[in-house]
Amino acid sequence: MEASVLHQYGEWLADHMEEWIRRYPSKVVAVHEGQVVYTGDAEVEVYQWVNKTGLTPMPLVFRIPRAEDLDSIL
Amino acid sequence: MPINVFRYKSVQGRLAPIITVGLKLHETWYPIATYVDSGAAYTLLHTAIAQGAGFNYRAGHRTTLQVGDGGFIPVYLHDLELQIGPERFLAKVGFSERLGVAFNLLGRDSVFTRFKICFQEHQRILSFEA
Repeated sequence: MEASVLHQYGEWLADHMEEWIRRYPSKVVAVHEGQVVYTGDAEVEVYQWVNKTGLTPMPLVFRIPRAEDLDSIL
Repeated sequence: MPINVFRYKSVQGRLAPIITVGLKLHETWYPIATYVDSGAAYTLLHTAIAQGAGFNYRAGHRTTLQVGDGGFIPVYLHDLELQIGPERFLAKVGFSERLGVAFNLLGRDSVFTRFKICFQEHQRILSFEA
C-alpha cells in the first residue's frame, strides 16, 4: 500500500475526527478520498460493502470512538 | 534515518495517539487505525477486519493474554505484514473476540524494536524513527 495513502488517511482522521464523532456517533464508517462513503452498525457489514464496491485505494474502516473509550486503555 | 510523523487525533477534546497502518491479509493491504500502546505486548486487533477480509484468524496460535482488569482474553496470533509509513515488516498480530477496548492496539512486538518512537503530546505529534 502506498505510504502516501496511509499518511493521507491519518491526516483525514486528524482533521475530521471531531466532526465525524458529532455526525456519526458510535457508527462504523468507511472513509475514502476524505469522505465518509458508508456507515453501518457493525464492522463486518461495512467491510462487506467495501469488498463489494472494490474502491481503490482500500477505504479505511473504523468505529467512531467516544471519549470514554480512551479510559479503557491502560 | 527516516522519520515518520503522525498527528494525535482529538476525541471529544482528548488527544489519542492513533495512527493509520497497513495490514496485509491474503494479498490485500488494509488501512487500519491503531492506538499506539506501549503496554500491549502484541498488536491486537478486533476480529471484524479478519471476518471482513475472509481471513481465518482462528487458524492462528491460540494463547491467552492478561489485560488491565487482571482477566485473561483468548488471542489468535499470526505472523503478518504490517506497514508503518513506507516500512513493511513481519509482526506478531493477534486477533481477539474479547479485546475489551474500542481500538485496535499497536503493540510492542516487532514494532517497538524496529522504531524509536517518540510521543510528543505537547506538540500533538508522535514520531517513528526507523
